[in-house]
Amino acid sequence: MAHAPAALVIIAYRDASDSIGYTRLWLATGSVDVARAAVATRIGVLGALSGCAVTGYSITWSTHLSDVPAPGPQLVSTAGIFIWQTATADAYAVTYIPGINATMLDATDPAGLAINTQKLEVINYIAVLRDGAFVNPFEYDITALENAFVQFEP
Amino acid sequence: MKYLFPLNYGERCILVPIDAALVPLISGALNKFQSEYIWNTSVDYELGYYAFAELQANLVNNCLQDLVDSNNRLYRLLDTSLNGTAYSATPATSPPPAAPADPTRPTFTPALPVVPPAISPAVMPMFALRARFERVVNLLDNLATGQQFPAVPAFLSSDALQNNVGLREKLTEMQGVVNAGWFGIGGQEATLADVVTALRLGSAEDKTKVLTALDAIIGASSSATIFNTVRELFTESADLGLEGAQFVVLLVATMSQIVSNTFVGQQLDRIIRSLDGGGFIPPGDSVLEALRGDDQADAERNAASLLAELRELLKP
Repeated sequence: MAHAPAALVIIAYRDASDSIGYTRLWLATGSVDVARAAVATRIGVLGALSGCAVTGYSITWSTHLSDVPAPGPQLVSTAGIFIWQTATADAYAVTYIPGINATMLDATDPAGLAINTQKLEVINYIAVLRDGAFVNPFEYDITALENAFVQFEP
Repeated sequence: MKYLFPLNYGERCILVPIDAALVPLISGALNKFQSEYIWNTSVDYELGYYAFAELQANLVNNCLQDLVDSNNRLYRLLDTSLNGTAYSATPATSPPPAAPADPTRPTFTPALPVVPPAISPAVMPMFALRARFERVVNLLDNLATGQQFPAVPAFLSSDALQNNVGLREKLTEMQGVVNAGWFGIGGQEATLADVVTALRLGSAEDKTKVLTALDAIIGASSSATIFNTVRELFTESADLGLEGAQFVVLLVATMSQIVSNTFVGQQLDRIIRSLDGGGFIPPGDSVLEALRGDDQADAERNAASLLAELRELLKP
C-alpha cells in the first residue's frame, strides 16, 4: 500500500446558472485537523479571485494499493447497501460496498436480496463500522445496523 | 434543480407492494437522494438523507417491520389470553455485531411457534381462558351428570369435582314421596300440586280437622272443653307447619272472645236475677219485692217519701 504525496483539496465555485467549477490544490501531508485549519484560513484568499461564489470544499487523502490484484468477477453495479442507526434516533447512515460478493447474500427469503449478517466477513464489517471511528454525514456515530441488502447502482 | 424536503413528512404512510426482484433497482434509483447537491438547503439535505435511508431500509422489511411486530404482539396477546403463555421481554442493550441493538425491539421469550402448541387445558396456567372455560364446562358437567373430574393444581379453586349424582337424580331426591307406607316404602312421587295442596288450608284433611274442632266447640259444655279443643287444633297445625295455623290463631282469638262474653253474660244474669228475679215477668223473692212488697211504686209510695215521713215522725 502506498500513500499519495499530498492531500487533495477541491474547492467548489457556483455561478448564477448553478453551474459548478472547481479548484484543485494539494496540501502537505498532515492530520485532518491541520488540513482543515489550513484550508479554512486560506479559503477567503482563494475565493477572492473569482466572481463566483465559493460553496464548499473537500479534502481527500488518496491511498493506492501497491499490489493491485486482477479484477474480480463481480460487477461493481451489484452493490451492497448498508443502512445504519446512529446515536441519534431516526438519524441514519448509508454505506455501500460495490460489487458485493454473492456469497455474502442470504439464502433465505427473500433469497439473493438480503445480506447475510451471520457471515464472518459481514460481522467484521459491522464491527468496524460500529467501532466509533465512523459517523454519518452529519457526524452522528454509527451504532447499529438497521438493514442490509443488494442494490444496483452503488 | 434543487429539491425541498416536504414539510408534511411523517404524517401518513402508504404501502406500496414491490416485487422483491425490483428492490435492488428501486433502491439504486433512490441513491441520488443521498447526495447533498440535489437539495435546496443543508437542512433539506439532512432530512432527505434520513428519510430515504429509512425508505431504503424498509424495502426489505417484508412490508414493514412495524406491521410484523404488531402482528406478533397480537399473537402474544391471544396466546396469553387463550393458553396462558407467559412472555417476557429483554431489552437488546448489548447485542452482537451481527444482530445490532434496537431498543424499541426487545427480545421476547419464548419465541413465537410456527404452529400453536397443543396444550391440554388441565396443565394451563389458571388465567388461560381455555383452561377457565374447561373448568366451567367441567363444573356444569359434574353438576348435571355427576361426571367426576380430578383436581387441577394450576387453579386457585383446585378441588376435584367429586359430585357423583346428576341434577335429575338430585331433584328427584328433593322431590320426595307422598302416601308412603311403612318405613317410607311405596307411595308416589310428590308433584307440585301435592305441595300446594299440603300448604293450603283448603285441603280435605285440614278442612275435616277444622270442622271437627268447630263441632266440638259448639257442643262443648264448658269453656275448658273449648280451650282444649282449640289448643289441640292449634298444636297439630303448628307442628305440621300448615298455612292454616294462622287461621287457627284467629279462630282461637275469636273463641276466647266468645267465652269471655259468655262469662260476662252469666254474671249479668245473676245480678238481674238477684234484683228482680229475672225474666220478663218478675218472680217473687227478689230484692225489689223485699223493699216494696207486691204494690207498684209510684210518686208517693217510694223509699224516699217513706224516709221523709219517718224523719217528720222522729222529730222531737
